[in-house]
Amino acid sequence: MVVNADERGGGDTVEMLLRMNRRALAVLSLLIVFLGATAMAMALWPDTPLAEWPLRFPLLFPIAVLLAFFSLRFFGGGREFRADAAEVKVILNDDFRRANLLRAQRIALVLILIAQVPLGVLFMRVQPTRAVIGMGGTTIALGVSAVILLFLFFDRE
Amino acid sequence: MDELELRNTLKVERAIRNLTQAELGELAGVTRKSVNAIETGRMVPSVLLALKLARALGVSVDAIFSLAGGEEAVAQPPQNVHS
Repeated sequence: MVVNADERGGGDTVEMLLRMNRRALAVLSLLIVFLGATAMAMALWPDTPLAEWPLRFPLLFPIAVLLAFFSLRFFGGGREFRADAAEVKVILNDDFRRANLLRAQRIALVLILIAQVPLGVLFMRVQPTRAVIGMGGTTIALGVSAVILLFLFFDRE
Repeated sequence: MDELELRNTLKVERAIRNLTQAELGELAGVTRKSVNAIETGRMVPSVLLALKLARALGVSVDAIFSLAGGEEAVAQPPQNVHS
């Protein structure tokens, strides 16, 4: 039996949610790259403004996150979506998105492993505590941002 | 052995029913991007999604999806195991 699509509605909502999701992921990846750069600067160049901002302006990052959250909601029309809404389920269970996410995760894992060598060389000359913080922060930031950016790349039109 | 390739007539079946990719996606419970990716051969759908698409279009899975290439291997009937 063929179901009439017009009776169901919600296609535009799914498209809008997808666009919002892409925007949110792009913003999130920028924030993570910024945090990774900060962790790297704290270990390698502790006297630079990039390394000092968390100490000077500790509330800056939470405020930036809140601003990003509310601006994304504003551009998304300010609509509320429950996690169990039908449109959200469609997106979460979408085959193409799942396949792209798995692909992105696999490639990001390889990138992280390869990146350990140059990161190790880079952090070799600093104190062990700083090296651990720097390498940890950079690796996490690199991994998460790589997953997000690769996913956005594979998930494009 | 020849490489087997999944072909589909999703675009044709959709056009016959005058459905957009978004509408078909909605009927099958996936996004328009999934439908587009299958139509353009960028993604091989899962069995579940193939069944959902077939149901949404009111046809059998065979009517939409078929294997191309390696005909010799596919066309041969299975050997009779009984003596």
